Amino acid sequence: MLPRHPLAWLLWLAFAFTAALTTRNPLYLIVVLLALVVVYQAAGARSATGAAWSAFIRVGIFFAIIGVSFDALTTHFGDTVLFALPAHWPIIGGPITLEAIAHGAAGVIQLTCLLVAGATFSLMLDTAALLRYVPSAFYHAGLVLTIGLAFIPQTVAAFQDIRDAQRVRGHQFRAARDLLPLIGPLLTSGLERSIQLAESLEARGLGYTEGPSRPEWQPQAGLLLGSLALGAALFSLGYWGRQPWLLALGVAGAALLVGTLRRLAPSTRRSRYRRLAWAAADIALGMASGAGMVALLAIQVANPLALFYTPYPTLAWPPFNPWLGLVYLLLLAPLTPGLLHRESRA
Amino acid sequence: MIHLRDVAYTYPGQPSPALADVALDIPDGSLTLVVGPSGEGKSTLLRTLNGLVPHFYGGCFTGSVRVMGVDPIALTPRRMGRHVGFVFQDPESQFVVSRVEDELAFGMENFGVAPPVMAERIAWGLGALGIGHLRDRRIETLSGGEKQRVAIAAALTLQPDMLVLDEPTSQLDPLGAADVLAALDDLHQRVGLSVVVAEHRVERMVASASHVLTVSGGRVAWGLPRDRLAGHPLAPPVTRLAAALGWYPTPLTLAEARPLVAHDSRLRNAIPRGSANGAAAGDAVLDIRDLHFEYPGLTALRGVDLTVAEGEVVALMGPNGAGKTTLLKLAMGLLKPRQGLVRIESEIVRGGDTARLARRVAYVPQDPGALLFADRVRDEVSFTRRAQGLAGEGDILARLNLTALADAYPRDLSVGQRQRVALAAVLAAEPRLVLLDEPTRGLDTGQKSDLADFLRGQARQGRGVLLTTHDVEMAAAAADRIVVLEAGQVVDAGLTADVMRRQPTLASQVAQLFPGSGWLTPSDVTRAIAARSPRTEAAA
Repeated sequence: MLPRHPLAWLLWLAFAFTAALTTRNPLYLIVVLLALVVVYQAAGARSATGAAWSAFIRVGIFFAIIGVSFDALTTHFGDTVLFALPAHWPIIGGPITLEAIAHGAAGVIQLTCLLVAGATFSLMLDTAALLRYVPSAFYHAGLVLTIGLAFIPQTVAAFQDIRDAQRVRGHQFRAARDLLPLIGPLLTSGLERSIQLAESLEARGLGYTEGPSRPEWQPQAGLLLGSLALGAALFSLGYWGRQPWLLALGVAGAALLVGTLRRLAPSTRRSRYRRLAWAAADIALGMASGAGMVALLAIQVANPLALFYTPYPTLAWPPFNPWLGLVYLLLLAPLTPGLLHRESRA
Repeated sequence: MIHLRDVAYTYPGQPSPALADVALDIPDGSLTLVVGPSGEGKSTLLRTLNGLVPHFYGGCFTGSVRVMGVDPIALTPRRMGRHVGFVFQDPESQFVVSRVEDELAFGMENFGVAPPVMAERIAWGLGALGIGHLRDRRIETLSGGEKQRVAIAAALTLQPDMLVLDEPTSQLDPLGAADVLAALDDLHQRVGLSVVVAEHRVERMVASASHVLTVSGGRVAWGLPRDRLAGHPLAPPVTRLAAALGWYPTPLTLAEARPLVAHDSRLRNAIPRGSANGAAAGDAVLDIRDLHFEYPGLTALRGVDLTVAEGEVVALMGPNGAGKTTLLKLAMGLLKPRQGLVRIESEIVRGGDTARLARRVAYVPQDPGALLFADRVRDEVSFTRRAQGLAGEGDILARLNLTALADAYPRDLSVGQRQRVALAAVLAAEPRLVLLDEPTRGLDTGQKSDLADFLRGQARQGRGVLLTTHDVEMAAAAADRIVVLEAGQVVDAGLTADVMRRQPTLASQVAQLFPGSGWLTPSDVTRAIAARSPRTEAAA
């Protein structure tokens, strides 16, 4: 089978993130999560790489639940008091409410949606195909991102191997300090793997330029100054409003960034082996994802209350609009026949 | 041509040089085999040829280097990519993208090669390595041997003048390794490509090599294979046997050794009839019956029976992906079988009871570094003993000759020393069963021999030892029995000599030289002759 079009999957990922991040309504989030899980299963959750991603998702959910528990213990707001901790206890003392727990639970679902969407995208991602669409100036950033995505399942697999080896040695993980025999080898092996990959990239001509190399401090200084100016302008707009000098600072920062990147671009002189043609299934995925994303953003602008939900001050059953539910179901578009067929994995 | 003069190099922060006084002149079109102990300068020398040393590592470099007419130090590794294709030990660590065809294109895209030219070169690279059928496959679905051939093809698409490979077969099963080395030999013969390859299992490549470079303690000597390998401790087993028996001319291959065997009258009387008897084995330490296990979408083991008795070393062999590591994990209770029984001594192992088994089972993973986290070697040992409720360090450091390194930082040690520290860490609690997953990875012949002796010693102390290995010479030196696993099933099992007779791809060089004799290593032969003539034993 030919690879699937990376831009179609990128649109799908953007749609999934938009869906998960634009509402805290648990009913909509559950619909989103179910749709994502179905696609994730079809994308190869049961493969070796998928198993590593699943472990990563579980770890993510575990930490999210810890965060939610902390949230529930420290947010003493809401009408439905389940129980109260002594008021003189610092931070956690006070009423523990059903509303705070519901709010935190919605956050866990939201985070799980993001993790599942990211894992699905990674499983379906054709790295090379995606990199060929990245503008030259952003190539290295794109490469770092894709290598980073590939490192997640590898790190999870290494984590499991180290944990197994230490367990056989008789070590038991009961407290935070027991993690040292796990974290130490994990970090060291990750660094060793990174060094090997960096060596390989260097030996295969990554960053090759013809002619004399430009001093590296120039583009670095340009990118740093441009980012600082743009960031400072955006940050300050929130405080001082649309002051002309802030707008000028922002425009200057953006211009410096773009100019530096344009200067970097020709020196890389990369070529692209081939770009994939859009198959019918890819077009269907791209259109469905684009339509879904546009619909959600339009609703967000036209009627923000349609997506809004808060359990405070008194927990109430969240509203559910079936038409909006159908928009979320567009996340199932990858299940268009033929789109998810992949060769069997050994 | 490779031309090095007065080359010396010291890694940052190191007190002594990794390379010293290196002078070489290797002609174009040669296939050069680099031989030497682990950690004594082979990889450093190879990285000098494309400028990774000193550019990637820093440090202090002196001397002059010319490779195919260019200076890699002046040109930098990035630009040397067009002149020198570099293939690393671990194929996994050098892939960047997810599909074979794209991986072959990656280097060319970096150099801005035009797309139509890329297509031609990809077709040529796939054809040259015999992997055209893998073109559209995802890399994660390939076997180890296939991955390494993809890595070589990716290096070739840049049309380098020279290919440099750093132990390219160290993680491959015998068939996968043979495929890779045959492809290299073919490229050298047919295309006339210059090849420099570091390889611990010298016997695999020596027949094709036009030159041999020996590296030891950072010093390099080079010459014709016979000149460099005669009397060398890392020479192929038949060459070491020839040195012990005084054969001349020194054979480097089985084909060269066979006529000498026919003319050695000492062997005629010493060759035993039938295979040797195995060591008398005691009660079963590990007993596996009808074991089945499945990963999602993949059947890993189907009805495996296997026993390891006390006082016995068993080698588990078979191709990559046969289920060997899965079997070890089931034996340790890390996985739960779908069907079947695992028993350690008299206790039934159920998945998830690893902590309870830890006192009786020791396990060294493929990467010994996965175990090592403490600041000192002695802390690794006391950590295990504390976990098992034992006090002090015991005597394991002394038994593994690690007393002098007791206060060293484990990750600063050489590959062989790290392996010994990992062994000390897991054996500190005096287990009954020792499991090792590919323990020879990165070890040279001398270190492997030491490891084999150590494992035999463990067996003599009444422990059962089960090791997975691709290394036939290791299995010959250490194992009483071999169990061969393929696609999750036991396809052969028996005494080491018998399995090596039935499975030619798993036979050691000596087993192939004396089929049916029960001899497996050079020392088996010299011992047998010494039994008739005490003078020969002294020579061995």
